Amino acid sequence: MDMTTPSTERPPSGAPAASNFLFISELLDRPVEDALGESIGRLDDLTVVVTEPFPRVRDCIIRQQWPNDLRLVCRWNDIADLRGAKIRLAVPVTQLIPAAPGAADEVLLRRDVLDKQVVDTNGLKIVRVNDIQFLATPSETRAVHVDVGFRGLARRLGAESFVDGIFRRVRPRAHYLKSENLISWRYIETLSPGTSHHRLQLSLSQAQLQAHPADVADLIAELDPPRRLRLFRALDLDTRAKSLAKLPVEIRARLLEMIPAHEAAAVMGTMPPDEAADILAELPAEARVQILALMTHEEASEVRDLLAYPAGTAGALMNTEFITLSDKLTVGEALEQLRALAPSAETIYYIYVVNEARSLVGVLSLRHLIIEASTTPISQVMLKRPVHVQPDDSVAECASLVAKYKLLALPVVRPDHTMAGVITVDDVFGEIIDQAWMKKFARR
Amino acid sequence: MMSQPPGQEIPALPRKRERSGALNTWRRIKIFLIILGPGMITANVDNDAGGITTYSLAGAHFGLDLLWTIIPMTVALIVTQEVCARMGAVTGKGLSDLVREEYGVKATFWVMLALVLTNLGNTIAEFSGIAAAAEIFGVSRYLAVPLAAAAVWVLVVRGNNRIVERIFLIGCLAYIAYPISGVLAGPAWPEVLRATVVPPARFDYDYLQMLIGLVGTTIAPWMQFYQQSAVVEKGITPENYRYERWDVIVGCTITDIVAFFIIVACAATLYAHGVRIEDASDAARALKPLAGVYAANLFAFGLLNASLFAASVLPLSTAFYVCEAFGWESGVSTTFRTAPQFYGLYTGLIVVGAGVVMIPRFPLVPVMFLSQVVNGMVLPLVLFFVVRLANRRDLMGAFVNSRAGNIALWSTVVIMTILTAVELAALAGIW
Repeated sequence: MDMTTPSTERPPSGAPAASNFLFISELLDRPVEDALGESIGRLDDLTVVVTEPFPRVRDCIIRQQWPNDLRLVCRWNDIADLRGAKIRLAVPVTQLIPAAPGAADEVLLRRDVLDKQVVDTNGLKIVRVNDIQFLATPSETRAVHVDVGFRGLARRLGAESFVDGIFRRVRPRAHYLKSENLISWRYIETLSPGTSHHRLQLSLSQAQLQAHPADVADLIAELDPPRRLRLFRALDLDTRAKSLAKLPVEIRARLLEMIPAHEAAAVMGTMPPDEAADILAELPAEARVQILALMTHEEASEVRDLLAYPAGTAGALMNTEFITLSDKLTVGEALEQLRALAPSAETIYYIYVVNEARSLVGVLSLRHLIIEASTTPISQVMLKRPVHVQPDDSVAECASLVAKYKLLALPVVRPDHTMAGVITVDDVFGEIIDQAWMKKFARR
Repeated sequence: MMSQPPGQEIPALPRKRERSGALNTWRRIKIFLIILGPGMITANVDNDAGGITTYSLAGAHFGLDLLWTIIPMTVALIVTQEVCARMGAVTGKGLSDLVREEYGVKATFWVMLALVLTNLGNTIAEFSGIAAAAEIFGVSRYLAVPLAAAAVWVLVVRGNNRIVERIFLIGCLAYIAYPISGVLAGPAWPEVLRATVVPPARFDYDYLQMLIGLVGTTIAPWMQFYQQSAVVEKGITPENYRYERWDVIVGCTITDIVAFFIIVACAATLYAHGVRIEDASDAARALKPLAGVYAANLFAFGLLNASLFAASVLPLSTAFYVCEAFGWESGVSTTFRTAPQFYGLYTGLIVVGAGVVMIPRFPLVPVMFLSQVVNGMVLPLVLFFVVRLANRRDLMGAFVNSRAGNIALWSTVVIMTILTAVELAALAGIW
């Protein structure tokens, strides 16, 4: 709103000496008069500085009385007295400036937070803000809690004491009378579509959320679409990729439609190629081409390869991130290379061994590498002619092999004997469960 | 891709490039069929027990005198429902969420209170319909009503809602009986046509009350909430909204065609013979020209289907809106312990709705009608918020309400407010 006002921080002269709590519901719509006792209008909104954990109230917005519809800005520190019948300012009305319209980068508590859905990042759920509590000290006032409880609703209706009275009479030991249902502002993520974007990225890292991506996905699904988008974009790239994979198909498709293609491409690039291919396969062709074009060449070509295989085949299911080693290495050298390669691979429990022609000649388990002497050539310890499938084999085929040989992963080998990818046991498992569900629904 | 979140600038509807004509038409029809639903279901629930009763009474007691209301009501209904569907598609939020977020707790409280009370009235009307239909079939209401209440509760909480909706929607085919019966009764068509466009000069109290009831049952306040939530739930976006618009228009038109023929059939059979509707079996006689001795059974089937359909939709959706607005846990996948307000409200509406009907000698037909009068009185309050929200450019972007839409909505608000005021004044004058 008004960035140019010289801000000399001084305590409001008539402000209470000690610190005390007050609610936004006690302030909004109260009549306001200026230093000369002239009535100005009513308190309409409060702007806050949100770069700190507990945002400081900076300005108040005063709505003029009908028929004037001008909104005036007054610095919070220019309020002389909050406690009278009218809020009295320490300055004359002539010093107030009109609120600049369309200052979208600022957080207004009523417009953006009060009555809105917010994320309680501590309890990890969506709540609606019934009231906002401030801690007022002589020098500043900060928002410290949001009220998400029934008491907040009663207070907003102006019926707090009435509801209290009923409860005391009917159920004196009711939970309501004791509980406050306040959530610390620290755990609140506001997600209001009008506010700036970078602020959210500052505040909502994976570390703060401390939640499993599947839980974050549940949270996203619970929100309405505009807030879904904001929460999603507030996440770091890794959490975005992981939670996107866990979202229900319809919500995922709509979310991807709402974000710019280059952002979608960045998220897709972070995912394992098989998951990215699965998600891209759900999108309309135009969107798919657009996203693929914006991914790095390497990532895109892996995903494209996977997309080429029909659904329900090993090729469509497989992951292209796996580890191959040359059959000329010793166990010691193999372990060395594994350490360097492991971070990017989905599974390291099996290491596939290839010859100079890059044909699959054997498989090693991590156990082999650990228990064998480091000088032994791996060609001596590896299991030769491993169980494998071809890209166009069915998922059911893969499942039966995984079950029969108790494998954690299954190599997918092209007709020329080179390796195309691996299918992990959880890929197979997920697919089989999906199919079972589909059958169940079809019967209904 | 790249569409922006609502609330910011929303680009105009992207026009897809035309491909070959036939393919394009087929593709459009396919998208329409996929989207089809919210408008159609809302419209058919609209012809519930209260609706059938009110239209029957209008035809039987006033002949063709109220037929002129159908066309303006259809326009008002389409405009209203279209606005709500559009708001749902653009904002992705239900109407109760929007009222709460934009107008605060006090406004929400009064709107929700009015909605819960009218929907309690509607729920009582639905169970009255079930009782009336059961009695035509010769089943005691003291057996049928509790059974239906339990069935609805279990069906909705434990069953699959979509399938239940489809079954009832098929049951709505029973309404075809009215057009056929209306035609077979052989009304004087020139007179019917004239009455469709020319309102009679009539302003007595009964006529006025019937007028409010008619508007109240056709444009019921719950419909705006239901329509908007259904659109949100279906995930309709601004991009494919234009298909949803047709869903609304077709649904509303069908509703009012049924209403039109109920009035014509009742006018041609009951009014022509001076029969007054005292109970539901009187209303069934409007189907005699088609079904002869089976008229009562056909009518009872239609009434039962309509009542059960609405009874399975209204209490549940009411509980949803209220909980969404106040930020309480809701949904049928929750438990009573985690969502006490949701289950309390849902169960309470059904128990009270069914319980009231069990009172001995409870007057079924007058209550079914009066609940619709209450609908009509609450309507301006809901429409006031609808029209204000639909004009918010910051919410609606390029989809903000048009001038013509505003004129239609505001005139509905003003007319209904005046009618309600006159009705209340008349009531005060009588007592």
